[in-house]
Amino acid sequence: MNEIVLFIVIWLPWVVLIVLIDYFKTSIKVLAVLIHFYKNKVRKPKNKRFLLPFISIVIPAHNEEKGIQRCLNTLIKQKYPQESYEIIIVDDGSRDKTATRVTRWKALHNKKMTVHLETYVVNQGKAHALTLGIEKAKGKYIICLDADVVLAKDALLNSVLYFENNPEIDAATGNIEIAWNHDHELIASIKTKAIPRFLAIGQFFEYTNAYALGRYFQSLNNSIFTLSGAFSMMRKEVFEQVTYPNDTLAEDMDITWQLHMLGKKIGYIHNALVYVDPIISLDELYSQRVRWRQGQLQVSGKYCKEIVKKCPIRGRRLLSFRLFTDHTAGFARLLWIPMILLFIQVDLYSFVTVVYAVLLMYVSYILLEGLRVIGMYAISQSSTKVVIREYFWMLITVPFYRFIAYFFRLSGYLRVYIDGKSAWERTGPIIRFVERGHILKKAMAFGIPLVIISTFAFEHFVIGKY
Amino acid sequence: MSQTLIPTLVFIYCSLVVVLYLRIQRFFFTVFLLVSIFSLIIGVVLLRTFGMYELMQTIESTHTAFWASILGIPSSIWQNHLLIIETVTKEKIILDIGLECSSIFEMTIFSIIVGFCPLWKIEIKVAYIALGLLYIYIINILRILIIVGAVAHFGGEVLFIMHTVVARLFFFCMVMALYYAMLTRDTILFTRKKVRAH
Repeated sequence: MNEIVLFIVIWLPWVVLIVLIDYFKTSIKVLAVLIHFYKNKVRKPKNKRFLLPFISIVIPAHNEEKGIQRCLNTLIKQKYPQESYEIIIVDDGSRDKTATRVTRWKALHNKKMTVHLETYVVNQGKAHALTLGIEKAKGKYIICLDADVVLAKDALLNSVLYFENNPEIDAATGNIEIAWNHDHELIASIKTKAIPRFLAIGQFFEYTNAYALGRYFQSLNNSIFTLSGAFSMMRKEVFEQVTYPNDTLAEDMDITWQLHMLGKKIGYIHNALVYVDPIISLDELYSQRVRWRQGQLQVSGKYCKEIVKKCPIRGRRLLSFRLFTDHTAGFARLLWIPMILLFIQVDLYSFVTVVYAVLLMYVSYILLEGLRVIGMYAISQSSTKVVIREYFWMLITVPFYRFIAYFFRLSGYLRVYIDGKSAWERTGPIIRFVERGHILKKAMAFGIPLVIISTFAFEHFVIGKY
Repeated sequence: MSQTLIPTLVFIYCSLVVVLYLRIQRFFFTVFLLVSIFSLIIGVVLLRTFGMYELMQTIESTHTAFWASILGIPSSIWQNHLLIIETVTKEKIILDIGLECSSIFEMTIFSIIVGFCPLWKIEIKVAYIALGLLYIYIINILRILIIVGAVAHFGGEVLFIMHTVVARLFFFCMVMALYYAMLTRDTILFTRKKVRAH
C-alpha cells in the first residue's frame, strides 16, 4: 500500500507533465485540424473557372537510377493535362545510369510532354541543381520534387487548384506519406522482416503525424517549419526573392525561413499525396536524422537574429519553440532515464515501483500515439486508412521507434559540436560496429567481463547491496 | 576506505577503457552517453558515500526555514531535514525535505551534461556549472517556499497538489529555461558562427 502511495505521489508529476505538455499540445492540434477539415468539407470552396496554367516540375537527381523512372512514370499518369506541364531533370553529377535512364524515358515520352535534361558533370549539391532547374523553368508555378518519390494521380491537379483558389498563398508543401502499397517489391520484403517492418511502420506513423496533423496545424497559423524537400510548390515570382542556399544541409528549411522573413504565406496541400520509400536500416535512418538535425541547427543559427527581427512572433515560434522541444528537452531528458534506474540504487524507491513507473510512462506514450492516430485517421484518404487499420496493433512499438529516433537526433546535435565538416551522408553506428568487428570481438572478450566483474565489485563494496 | 576505493578505481578504470576505445573509434554520441551515465553512477554513489545527501538536505531546509521566517511564516528545523511550519490556524505541519527535494539529482545531471558537452572550453564549463548549480539551488528553495507559503495559508490539504503539480511544474519550467539559456542558445550562436565562416 505504502509503495502504491509513494508511486502515485512521486510519479504523478511525470504523468501530469506528459498530460499537460504532450497531451495538451496534441489535443489542441487534433481538435484544430479536425474542426478546420470538417468545416472546409462542409463548405467546399467552389473552384473558379480558369484554364489550367502551365507549370514546371524540377527534379534534382544524384545517383537516382533506381527511383527516377518510377517517379517519371507517376508524373505521366497525372490527371493534369500533359501539354500543361514540363519536367526539368537536373542530373547532378551522377556516377550511375541516371542520365541514361532519363534519356531513354525522354525518348519514349517526349512527344507528349516537354522533358528537359540538364547535366552537371561534377556533383554540385542539391541546392545548385534546384537553382539551375528553376532558372530554366517557364511555368506559372514551380514544383520541386525529389527523384525517388511517387505521386498520387491527382497530386498535381490538387496542388494547382489549391494555389488558384488561394491567391494569398506563395508557397506550399504536399502531404508526404510513407509508401506502403506503391512499391510492392520493397514493401513485400519489409513485411516479413521484423526490424525493417518496425522501422517502416514507425516512419509511417511519424510522417503521417508530421504532415496530416503537424503541417496542417502549422499552416493554420502560418508557421510551417519546413517545406518538404520531397514536394514543395511555389509561385514563379517568389524565386526572384529567395534562393536555395548551398551553405546548409537543410536547403528546404532554409528557403522556408527565407519566405517567412519576407512575410510570405506558406500553405499545406492536404490532398496532394506524395509517397516516399521508408528507410529500412538503422544506419540509413541514422544518416538521415543526423543530416536533418545538423541542417536544423545550421538554419537556426544562420537566421536566428534576422528572423526574430523581421517577424518577432512567428520568428520566435519557429526558432525557440521547436528547438526547445527537440534540443533543450532532448538533452535534459537524456540522463533522467538512467537516473530513474539509479533510484533503486540509492534506496529511494523499490525495483517494483520503478518498473511500474517506467511501464506507466510507456503506456502513456502509446495512448498519446493513439490520440494522434485518431486525428490522422479522421482526415486521411482511404488508402492511408487501410494501412492504419492493418497496423494499428504496431502502435505499441512506435514509442520505442521514437526513442531510437531521439537518440539519433541527439547524436546529430552532438556532431555539430565535434565535426568540422557537414556531410550529406553519414556512416551509421551499426555498420561501423560491423566493420570494426574483429577489434570489437577482442575488446568485448576482455572488456565486458572486466566491466561486469568491476560493476559487481563496485556494487558489493561501495554500495553494499549484493 | 580501501574497501571502497579499490573497486571504485577498478570501475572507473574499466569505464575509461571502454570510453576511450569508443572515442578512438569516433562513436561520439555513445561516448557522451556512456561517460555521462558512468559519471552519474560514480557521482551518485560518491555523493552518498561522502554524506552529501544529508548535507544538501540540511542546507536546503535551513535556508528555506530562514527565508520562510523572513516572509512571516513561523518555521523551524528538526533533525536537520524536517521543516516545521505553522499555518494561519496555528496548526503545525512537518515537511520532510527528502533526497528528491534537495535537488541534488538535478544538480548532478546538469553538471554532467555541461561538463561533458563538447560545446564549450573548460573555463566556460566551470563558470556555467557554478552558475547553474547556484541557480538550481535558488529555484529549489523557491519551489519549497511556494509549497510552504501555500500550506501556511491554506492548510495541509493543498500539500499534495502544491508539491506534486504546481511547485514541480515551476521547478521543471525554470530548469528547462536554464538548459535553453545555456545549452540551446549557445548552440545556435555556435552554429551561426560556423555557417557564417563557411
